[in-house]
Amino acid sequence: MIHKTHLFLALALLPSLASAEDTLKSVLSRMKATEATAIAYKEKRTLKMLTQDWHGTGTLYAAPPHTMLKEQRSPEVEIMALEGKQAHYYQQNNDQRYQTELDENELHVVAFNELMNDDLATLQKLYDISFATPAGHWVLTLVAKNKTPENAKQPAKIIMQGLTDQTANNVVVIQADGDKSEFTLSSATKGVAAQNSIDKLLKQIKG
Amino acid sequence: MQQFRQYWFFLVLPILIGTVIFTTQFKTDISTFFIAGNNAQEVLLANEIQSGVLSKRYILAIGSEKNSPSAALISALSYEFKAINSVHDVWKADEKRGALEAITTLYAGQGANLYSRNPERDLPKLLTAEGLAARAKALKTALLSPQGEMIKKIAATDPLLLSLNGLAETSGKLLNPPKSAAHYQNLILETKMSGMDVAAQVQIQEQIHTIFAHQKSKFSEEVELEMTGVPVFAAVTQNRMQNEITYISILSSLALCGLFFWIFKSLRVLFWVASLLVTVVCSAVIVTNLLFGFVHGMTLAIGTTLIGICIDYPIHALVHGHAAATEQRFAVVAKIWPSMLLGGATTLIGYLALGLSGYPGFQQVAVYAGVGILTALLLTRYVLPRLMTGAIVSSSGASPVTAWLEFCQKFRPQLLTGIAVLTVMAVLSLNSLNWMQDLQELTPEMNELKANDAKIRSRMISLEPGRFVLVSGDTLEQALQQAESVYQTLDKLKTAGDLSDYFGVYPWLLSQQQQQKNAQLLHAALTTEKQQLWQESLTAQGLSVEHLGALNYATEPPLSLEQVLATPIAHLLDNQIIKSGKQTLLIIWLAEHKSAALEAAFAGNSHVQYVSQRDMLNKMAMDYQGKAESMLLLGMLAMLLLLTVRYQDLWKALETLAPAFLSAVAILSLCSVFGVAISFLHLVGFLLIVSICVDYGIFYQENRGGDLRLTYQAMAASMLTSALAFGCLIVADTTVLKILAQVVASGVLLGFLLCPIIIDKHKVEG
Repeated sequence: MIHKTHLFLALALLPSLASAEDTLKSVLSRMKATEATAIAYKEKRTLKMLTQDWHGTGTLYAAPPHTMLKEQRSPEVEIMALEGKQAHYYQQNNDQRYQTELDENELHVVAFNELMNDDLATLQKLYDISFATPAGHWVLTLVAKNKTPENAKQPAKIIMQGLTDQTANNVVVIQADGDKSEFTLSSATKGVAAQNSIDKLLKQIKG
Repeated sequence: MQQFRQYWFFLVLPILIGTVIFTTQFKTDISTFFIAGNNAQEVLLANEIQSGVLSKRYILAIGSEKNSPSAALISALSYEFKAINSVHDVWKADEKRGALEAITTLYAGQGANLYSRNPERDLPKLLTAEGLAARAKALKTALLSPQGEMIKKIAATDPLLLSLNGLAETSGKLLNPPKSAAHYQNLILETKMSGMDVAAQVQIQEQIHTIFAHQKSKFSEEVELEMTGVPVFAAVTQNRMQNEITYISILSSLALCGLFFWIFKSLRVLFWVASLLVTVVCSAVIVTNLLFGFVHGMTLAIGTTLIGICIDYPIHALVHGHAAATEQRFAVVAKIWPSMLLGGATTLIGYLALGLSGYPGFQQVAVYAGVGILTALLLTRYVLPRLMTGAIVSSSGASPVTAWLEFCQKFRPQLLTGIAVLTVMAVLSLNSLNWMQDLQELTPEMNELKANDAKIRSRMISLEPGRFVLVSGDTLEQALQQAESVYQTLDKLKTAGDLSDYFGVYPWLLSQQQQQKNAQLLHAALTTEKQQLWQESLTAQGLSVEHLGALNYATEPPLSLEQVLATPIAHLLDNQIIKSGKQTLLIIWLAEHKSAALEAAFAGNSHVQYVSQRDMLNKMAMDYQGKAESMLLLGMLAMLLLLTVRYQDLWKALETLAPAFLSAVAILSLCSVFGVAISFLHLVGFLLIVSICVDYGIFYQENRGGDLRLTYQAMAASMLTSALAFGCLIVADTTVLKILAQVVASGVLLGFLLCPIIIDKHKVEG
C-alpha cells in the first residue's frame, strides 16, 4: 500500500489565504486543492524494528481533484502515486513497478482525499478532530475513531502544524504500534511547472 | 362405423400432441450431446467443462480504448451484478486486497511449511552469512516500502520472511496487470448454474446488459461492456442454431407443402401426409422421453430431419394408389408393403450404426429416428389406406422422369461403361482425401466470438486458455506430490526457452509431505550459530535484534486445501483443482509455450498429461470419426447381408445396394477433387445417403406395383422431397448444416439417377 503519510503530506502543500487568526475552517479551506503544487520535504521514520531512525528526502506533489505523488530521491529513488483509488509504485534500483487499488479500510488515505476536497463531514466520521492555536502556530490533530484490537490502546494519530497564516511545515503520523513518520516541509512551487513534473512522474511510474 | 374406422386416427392425434407437450422433458445443454470421453480423466474433464466452475464464469470487461471506468462505477456494477438472483459471486479479476490479507493472516504463520519446493537446495543458500545478510537487507527494504505495514505483521513471527519466498514471483503477477489492460477493468461473474444451461444464462446476460446500461447512464461514463466465457459461447451457439432451425423448418415446410401440392394437387392429401408425419414425430418424442427421461433439442433437430425420410413410404403408397380404385388401395399398399418394410429395415440398420458411433447424443437420435421409421411404416400400411378416399392425382414430373428411365434402358451398356470408368477414377481420387484435423473449421461463423474472447483474455493475464498440464492422483495429496515434480520439469522448460511461465497451485499450497519436510529441515538447520549470524546481519542493517532476532518458527500443522479455500485465494485456485470420489485432477495453466516440448516432457507419464482442449476435442472427434467409419462399413455389410437373405442372390443384393454405395463414393470423390476436408459430419451425411438410396434400390429392384414407370415416378417424388428438405439447409449460416445440405441433397439425386442404370430391369412397361 502507498504509505498513507506520504500522501497526506500533499494536503499540507496547498496555498494559504491570509487571515489574522487561524481557525479550523480557515486551515481546512487552505488545504482544499485548487492547482498543482510541489513541495520539498525531509522525512524521518522511527520504527521499532529499526535501531536507528531512517531519513529520506524528496518532493511531494498534489493536483486536484484526486492526484497525489511522492518522489523520494534519497536514499533511493522511489515514486509513489495515488490517482483516485488507484495506487502506483516505482523503485528505480531494481526497476520494479506495481499498482494496486486503495484499501478503503485505510482510513487515513480516505481521509486525505476528503481533506483535499474540504469534506469536513466525512473527516469527522473517521477522526476525532482537535485544533489549537498556540502562539504563532496552528496545530491540527486527527485521532482515528476506528478502533480495532490492534489500535484499541493507542489509536493512529496525525498531527499537522504550521505557522499562523502559513501552510503546514511539519507533519507527524503516529501508527497504533507507536511507529511514526515525521516530515519537515519547506518551500512550495505551484502551477504549470508543478503540473509538468506530475505528468512526467506519472509517465515514469507507469512505464 | 366405417367412417369412424376411417377417422379414428384424427381423434388420437390431439391426444398424442398433448402428451408430448405436457409430459416431455426437453434439454438444451449442447455439451452433453457431444462431449463424453474415453477414459476417466477425459470424463472428469468433460464434466468440468460442462458443469464445473469454469463453465459458470463470465469475464466482464468494462472500459474503452480511451476511457477507464471509475472505481465508483465498478463498485456499483459489482453490487448490482451480485444482486442478480442466479449469480453466486462477483469479484475483480485483479483482486489483490483479499489475497494480500490472506498472506498476512493465514500464510504468515505457514512460513516454515511453505517456504520452498526444494529445501535441500534453498536452505543452504539462505542460511549462510551472505544469504542472511541479503535477507536482512531485503527485510529492511520491505519494512520501508509501501507494504511496510503488512511486512511488520509478517516479520513479527517470520523475521526471515519465509512465507513470502514462494510469493516473490506471484506478487509481481498479482500487482501488475498487462499493459494492454490500461483502460479496462475486468470483473469475474460466477453463476449458480452450469454455463451450458442456456435458458438461464441468457436471462442473466440480459440482466447484466440492463444493469450496465443503467449504471453507465447514471455515472455518465463513456465506457463499454464486453463479455466472454463458456456461457456466452453456449448461448450464441444455441440461439444461432435455434433461429436457423426455426427459419429452415418454416422454409422447408413451405417448400415441401408446395412440392407436395404440385405432385398431388390436393390439400386433402397434404393434410393426410402431414398428419402422419406429426404422429410419427410425436411417437418418436414420447418413446425417446420414456427411455431416456428427456429429449434433447439436438435430437429433435437432427432426428426429425432423419424421420423426414419416412415421407417416402406414404408417397409410394399414394403414387401407386392413385391409379387404383378407392376399395383397391388397401390391397395396392399391401402389395408394395414388403419393399417398404425392407427399405425401412435397411434404414434402421443405418441409424443403428449412427447410434453406435460413440457420440452420446447420437444414441438418442438413433432411437428417435428408429421409432419414427417403424411408426411411419405401420401408419402407411394400416392407416393411410383408410384415409385414401376419393380421387388422387399424381404427377411427379412424369415426362422427364419417364424420359430418363427410357434413356437409361436404351443406353444401359454404354452408361454402365461410363459409370465403371468414373467409379475407378473416383476410387483413385480417394487417395488424396483430406480429413479435417481441427474441429474449429466446422465453426468459422464463431470466429468473431473467439477473437473477442482472445482480446478480452489478453488484457488479463498471458496464459493460454485451453492448454494446460493436467496432473492426476488418486487423492489430493498424491496429485500435489506429482505436481511438485512437474514444477521442476516446467522450470527446466522455462530455462530452455520452451515455456514463458506457468501457474500451478504453489505458492498457495504444497503437499503435506513437502510441508512436513520443509518444517523438519528448517528446524534442524536453525542452529545457534545460524541465529547468531542472523542477529549480526540485523545489526549491520540497523534492524532491531530485540524484535527480529529470534528465529522461533513454531511447528504449525500443514496447511490444508480447506483452509486455503476459506480465503479469497480460493478464487485463484478453485478452477485448478477438480475432485471426484475416485481421483483428483490439478490443472497447471501455461503461458506462451512450445506444444511439442511440453508433450515430449511428459510423454510416458501416466499421471501427467499435456492437454490442449482443442486437441482433446479433436482427438475425441477423430475417435468418433474412426468409429463412425467402421459403423458405416459394418452397416453397409449388414444391409448387404439382409438383402442377400431376402433375395437369396448375392448379385441381386449387390445390384440393389450399388446405387447407394456409388452415390456415396461419388460425393466422397468430389470432396477429394475439390479439396474439401472430410469430417464426421460428412460421414453422417453419407450414412443418410446410403439409407435413403438403398430404399430407392429396393423399390426399383422389386417393383412390386408391377409398373416400373409408376415405381420410378414414386421414387422421383421421394427423391424430390428428400433433396428439397435437405437442400433447404443450404441457406443456413451454420457450416454444419450447409455440409449436410450439400452432401445429402446431391447424394440422393445421384442415387435416384443411378438406379435405372445399375439395376437391370426389363424394358419399361406401361
